[in-house]
Amino acid sequence: MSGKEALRCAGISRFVDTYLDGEFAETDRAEFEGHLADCETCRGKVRVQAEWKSAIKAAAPREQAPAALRNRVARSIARESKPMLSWRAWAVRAMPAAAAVGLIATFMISKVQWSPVAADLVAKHAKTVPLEVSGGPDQVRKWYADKVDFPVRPPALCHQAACSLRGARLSSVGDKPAAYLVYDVNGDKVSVFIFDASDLPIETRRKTVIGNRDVYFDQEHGYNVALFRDRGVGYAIASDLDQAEMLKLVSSAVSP
Amino acid sequence: MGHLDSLYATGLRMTRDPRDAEDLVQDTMLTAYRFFHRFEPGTNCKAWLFKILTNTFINKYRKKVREREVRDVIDQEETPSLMSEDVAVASRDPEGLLVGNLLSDDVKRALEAVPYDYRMAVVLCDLQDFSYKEIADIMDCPVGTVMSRLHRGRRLLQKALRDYAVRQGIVKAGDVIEFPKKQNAEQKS
Repeated sequence: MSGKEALRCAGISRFVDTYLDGEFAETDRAEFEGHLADCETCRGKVRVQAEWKSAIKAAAPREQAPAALRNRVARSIARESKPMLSWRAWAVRAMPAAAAVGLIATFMISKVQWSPVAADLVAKHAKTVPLEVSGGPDQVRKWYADKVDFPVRPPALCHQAACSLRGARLSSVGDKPAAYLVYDVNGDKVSVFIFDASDLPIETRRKTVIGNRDVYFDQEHGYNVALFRDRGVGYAIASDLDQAEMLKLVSSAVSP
Repeated sequence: MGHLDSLYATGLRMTRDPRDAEDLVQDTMLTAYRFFHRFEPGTNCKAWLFKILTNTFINKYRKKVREREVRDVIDQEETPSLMSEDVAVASRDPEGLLVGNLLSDDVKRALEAVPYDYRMAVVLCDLQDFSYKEIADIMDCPVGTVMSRLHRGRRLLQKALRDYAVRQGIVKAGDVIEFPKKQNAEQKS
């Protein structure tokens, strides 16, 4: 093979993939095939690569989506398809109190970076961790006084005896320190995270206005999460209660 | 829901973990549903879904997967440049033995050994039949980059398959098979 031919082969062989993938323009393809007709070495390269391509395609793993995944996707899309209706319907049907304090509008805005944080909170909620302080709102507030640089005002999640603050510990939301309060609501655990929300976005897709306050809702791994701000301090409530129960808690927490 | 199997299989190639792949596909479908108004009718729906799949993976899962991959990558770092020599070696492959006997598990395992960008170029082109232009759009890079990733990805994949076959004793490391001359006549000229 002459030096010139070898050079041509080297140039051509870079495009074996392009040729086999059918990505050449007509004229380039004709030129390529013209060279192949003359060159045994390049024909060999093309043949081997063609065999690899078809063998890999033939043996490619083709897993089918499990039925559980199909169901999950279908369910989440069904839930998604009427978020306004469901939140509003729940609010109106199951919670006249919330409507009274001003459930004005529910609408969708785009979701920003909250999701990983919500997932983290839900993971924390799902775990049982030792509390660093136990007792009611006054004890908890005092305990935090010298531990975080924002006021920790334990929200009143409901005004019934069956709902109580069990205790609290230091935690985090995103990369910020947070107060993590654990409540018992009719035997169910409810987690409340209190944090400095000045530069942490808490907006999610579902926004509801309760008592003049924007409340954002999210769902992670089957848990409901509600978020709101009060005087620059962020509140995130996570529980496995249903939407109606969550609305009750939040409406109680945001009303004076 | 028509592309769910393709999305799931590709999600597995990305995350290499069935649970992550399911979560990834679920996120992808939900995002696609939410942004369906942005889909331009008449354009390729499958490519649009794969772009969302890729972006969702990079934004939400890649860090997690990467942490897991760090261990695996150490071997690959030591792999010498494959570009020129490997084309030559591949050309001499005892293809009757190796290429003709590829198993789905071999391809799956070998793909896992290929770094993400190269692996995805191969998966999108050879397993999902996307054009270079569609892959460029899905991976958000120029067509030239698709071509080089595809080239390198295929060679890395072939090398991984060959190494595996050598370890399994299907082919010998020193196996060299010259092209049978008679095949030249079969080529169209």
